[in-house]
Amino acid sequence: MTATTAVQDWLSLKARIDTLVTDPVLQRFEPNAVVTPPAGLAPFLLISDVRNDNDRNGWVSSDLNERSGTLILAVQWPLAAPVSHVQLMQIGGTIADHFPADLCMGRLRVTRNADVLQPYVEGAYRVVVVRVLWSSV
Amino acid sequence: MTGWTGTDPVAWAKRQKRAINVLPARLVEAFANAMATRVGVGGFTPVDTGNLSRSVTISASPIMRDGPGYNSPVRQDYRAASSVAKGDGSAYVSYKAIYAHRVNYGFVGTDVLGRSYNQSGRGFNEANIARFPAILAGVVSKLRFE
Repeated sequence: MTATTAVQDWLSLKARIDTLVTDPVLQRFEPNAVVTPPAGLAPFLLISDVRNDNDRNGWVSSDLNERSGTLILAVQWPLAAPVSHVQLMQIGGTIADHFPADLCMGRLRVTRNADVLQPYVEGAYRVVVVRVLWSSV
Repeated sequence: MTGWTGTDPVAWAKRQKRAINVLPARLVEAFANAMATRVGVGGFTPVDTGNLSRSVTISASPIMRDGPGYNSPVRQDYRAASSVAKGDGSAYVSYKAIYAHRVNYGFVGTDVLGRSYNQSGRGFNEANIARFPAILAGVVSKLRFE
């Protein structure tokens, strides 16, 4: 079975995520995976693969169809594990720096530096979201 | 103007002025409709009970997380509510459902109502925002022929 373009895009993103090194190490959960938080109050990472509508630039068959999407990486840090704002932003920044503007992953290109969103508390976790915008032709 | 058979410039100018005046409200209404459109019928908003979709609200000021009226089950009349959008002001289109960001960014755990979540984010907000330029183009295109 040949991987479809949609699958290839995800595999490109996943290959880049696999090379991410953080301190502490974050266990990763792919989209739709059943999340079993690691033992010992260890932080972990939720991964989301969001696709936008395709954008067709032109009217003839040879024109480019641009695909785009958002890779959302949400660090979940247990409230019971003490952490400073500096540590939270450091780990968010480490992830964001792994996806700089114009980084190419196969046919995908990061369209701007990844955003580190304002941390917030959700349930039993502090959450830091990193948002990566990409496009592909 | 004797002999002139082209577009009446006065009528054209009136149409353009009207289009510019109604554009903000039409755009906000169209964007709210897009945000309320569910997965499976062309939208991005996940659906379980439909509460998240129905909670889309247009307002003249930001909706605060602890504000009144959360989890409103009644869908707002977007055409009427969009009148808050004026040429030089601001309008906000929000999900009032308090769990909206949990669904958008992911959540692991149990909420105050005892519901268990175990999911990565759906990112429907990002997808809706990415659709905004197309929505704007659609609204402008329609206005040109009214």
